[in-house]
Amino acid sequence: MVAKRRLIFNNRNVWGLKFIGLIALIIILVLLPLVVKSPYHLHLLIMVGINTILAMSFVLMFKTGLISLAIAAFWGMGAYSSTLLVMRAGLSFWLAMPASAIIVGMIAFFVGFVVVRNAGFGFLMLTAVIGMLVVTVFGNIRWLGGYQGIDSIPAPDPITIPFIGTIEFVSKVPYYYLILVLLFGTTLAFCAMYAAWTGRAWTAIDLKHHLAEAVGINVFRYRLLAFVIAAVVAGYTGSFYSHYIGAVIPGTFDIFKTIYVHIYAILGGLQFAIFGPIIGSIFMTLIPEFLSITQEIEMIITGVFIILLILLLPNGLMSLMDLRGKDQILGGVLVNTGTAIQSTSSYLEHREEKKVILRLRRLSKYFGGLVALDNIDIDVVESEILGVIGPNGAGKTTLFNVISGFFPPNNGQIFLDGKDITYLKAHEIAQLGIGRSFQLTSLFMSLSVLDNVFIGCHMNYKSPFWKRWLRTTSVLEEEDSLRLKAMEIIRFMGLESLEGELAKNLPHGHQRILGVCIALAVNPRILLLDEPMTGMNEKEVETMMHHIRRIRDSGITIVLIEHNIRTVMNLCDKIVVLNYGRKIAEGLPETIRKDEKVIEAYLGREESKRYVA
Amino acid sequence: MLTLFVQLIFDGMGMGLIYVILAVGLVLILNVSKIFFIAYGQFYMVGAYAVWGGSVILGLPFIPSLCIAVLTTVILALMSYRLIFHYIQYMEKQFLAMIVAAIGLMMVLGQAGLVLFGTSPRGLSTIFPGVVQFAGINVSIEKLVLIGLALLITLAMFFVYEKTSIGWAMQAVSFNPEAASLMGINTQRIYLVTMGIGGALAGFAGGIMAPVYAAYPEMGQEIILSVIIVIMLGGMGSLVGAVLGGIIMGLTLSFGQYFTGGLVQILLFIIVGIILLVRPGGLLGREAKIDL
Repeated sequence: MVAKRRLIFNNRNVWGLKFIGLIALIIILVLLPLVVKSPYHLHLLIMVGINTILAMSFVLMFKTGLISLAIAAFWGMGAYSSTLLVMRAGLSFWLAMPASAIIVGMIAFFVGFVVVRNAGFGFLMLTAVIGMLVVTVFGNIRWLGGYQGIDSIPAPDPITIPFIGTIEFVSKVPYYYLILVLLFGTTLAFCAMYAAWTGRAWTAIDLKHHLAEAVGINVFRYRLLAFVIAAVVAGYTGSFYSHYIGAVIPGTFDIFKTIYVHIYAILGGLQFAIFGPIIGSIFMTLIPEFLSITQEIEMIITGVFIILLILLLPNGLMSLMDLRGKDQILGGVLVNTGTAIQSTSSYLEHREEKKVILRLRRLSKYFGGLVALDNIDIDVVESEILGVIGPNGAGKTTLFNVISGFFPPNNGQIFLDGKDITYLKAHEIAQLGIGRSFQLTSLFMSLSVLDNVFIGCHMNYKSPFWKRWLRTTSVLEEEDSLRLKAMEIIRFMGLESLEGELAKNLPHGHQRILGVCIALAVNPRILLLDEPMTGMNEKEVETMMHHIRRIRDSGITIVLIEHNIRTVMNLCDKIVVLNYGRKIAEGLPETIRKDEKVIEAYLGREESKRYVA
Repeated sequence: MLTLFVQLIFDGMGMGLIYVILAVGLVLILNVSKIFFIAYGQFYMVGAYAVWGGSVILGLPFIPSLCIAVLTTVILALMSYRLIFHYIQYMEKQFLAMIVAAIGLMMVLGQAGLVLFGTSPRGLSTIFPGVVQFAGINVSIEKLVLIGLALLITLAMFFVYEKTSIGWAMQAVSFNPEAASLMGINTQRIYLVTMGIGGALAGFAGGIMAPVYAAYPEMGQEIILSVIIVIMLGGMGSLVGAVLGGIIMGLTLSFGQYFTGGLVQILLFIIVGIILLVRPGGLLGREAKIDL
């Protein structure tokens, strides 16, 4: 147990082994030009470097759940802008390269601002349009050389580096070292981003973007960030490419180039953000070399290779050398409520005075002609459990979706502590302290229990973002303290024996509890629980009720949707009954139990007469 | 002026209907089998070469060579499904894996065309010579036959998809394969049938194009981009949208080419971009949801 916890806590230790391997790799790569003398083979290595960086930027987009077909387009923009800056504006290459990266990044920001809003297929298609448009635009602008492009682009100026001397770009070797530096730089930057909170946010968005929003992650912003970073990376790679080749031709940057880049990444293995692209592009560049036949036959054989690889190794070449173990499956461990109570933590501060914390006024929501919510007025009093019941289709879940910002209401207002939060986005509402769980079990299934809750702690960081990327000691300490907080929540909910288990391996009851844990991680003042007890057996329901009471006792207000009337009557301090989008009753459990309208709504008019009589 | 207008409409319709057939085929495959079948353009190329081979090498008349073309592409499509995509259907992240496999297939078929037939275009002598004159407007009979055949096959496709039990089964599988298989539909067979129909449509389109233009190795790669744009324009997953998109595309190209020259493509991309921004699912499409 202790050893396992150490492993989870100090993933810094794992770096030891990787570090040695990395140093060895760097030494080999640095010394490689001493062995590889032929300019042609050096050229191949340089192209591998370029393709690797491009493939890495594709994987970055893919990590956020988007497939971009515009990578070669941004690559081309980088190449063209750098070429123009050097040839027309007379800038030095060493200024033009970062400048072109910035230009491409700015273009990507404005394009992405529109494009990234469309996730999934819409995004794929829009980026495809960009990818095709760029070639046509370059080809049709005369002062960019049309479809012939621009040639005789000057080599980079000689550069003097302390301790090494002046480097002139006459042979392929300096270019090799330059692309090596770019590759290392990109790799380091990507590693830092993946290891830091950005990586976790991207993973969360990829796995379940609505859950990511519910824990306060701004999905749009993080996707835009990935889009811009991918473009910047493609931009400076393009700048390097144009000066290395000495010419730019629009056809080089067409959508098929992007597709090849995708193949490099996919064949390498998509779950390996760094080594997948490297292995993939080495493989794809070297196959034709080993075959050494005419180009047409070579393409055919490459095609056959691609098909065979995807059939035989669907997870990519890297999966051959994947040293990470298979998912470990622990036996189902029953939650022992008795001991769980002992470990009640103090992270949730108590609030004493009772007041209305959430106020809904004349809230309405229509779906086309269907009225899902009709002029709902509800006051939620602090530190109480409010039950929302009603027959199927009464609008309960819609109510939650409107409160938590997933759907904007058509009418009405929502106040949190007197502040109007009606039209805020889901992640903003989460940041203001409304946590929610989902009706269908919604977890980051391929992550461990601890990581699930840890992602939920997303917005509790205090240190500035650049420090978080650099992973200074203070940031690592902060992350450890956040992990501790996540562990405390897990312990509070009685899942501590399962913290290293993958969410998908948990039994259903524990998955529901984990859903509540994630909602708790956002530091909520109000917790919206959407049928937390569905599909549970009696014992599990008991446990869950116990947990809910304890959450309430720690000062968090709870709004609860539940079907099981007996549970609701037992648990809730107050009950609201919805039917056909209308509030038909409100009051203490006893009054609701006797309310004629409620009985009618549940049993129908005829039945209810008999029942009441 | 009117003459020119009608002439351009006929030109646009001729090319547009080819887009329509290919787009309908690709949408079917995309919708039912969930394969982003980027190798589809190469099937079109195979169809064109088969017609050329049938009429020039074997000396057959046009219709039998068209049958040969359709047969060839159907067999090729069925084989590629059964030997490749069938095994990817059940993988994780299968959508991406399918794209990659399709790209591999595209490389193999495209390069095979290049190796077997060389880079020079293989043209046919016109099969329906002559020109119809109508109120001062000249339209070649060939183009009329092309338009007629294309319309016929599109209507037949719609009939199959909307009115026959196999079409209903295809629709059911496209909505929810699991539910469809629980209702007693053999989904594997539907996938095969869809691929077969898709292959037939591509072979047919290539076949009727061969006499008008010519068969050349890059024709597949060139047309697939236009077909994808047509699908985006009309709407993912909508057959009517594919028809609409194809006709809009054909007309835009023929008019744009005449009036603006090379800028027509930029114009087209901008139009498509704006349409996609306003309606991410395309003109008539529901927003396609595909698990990546």
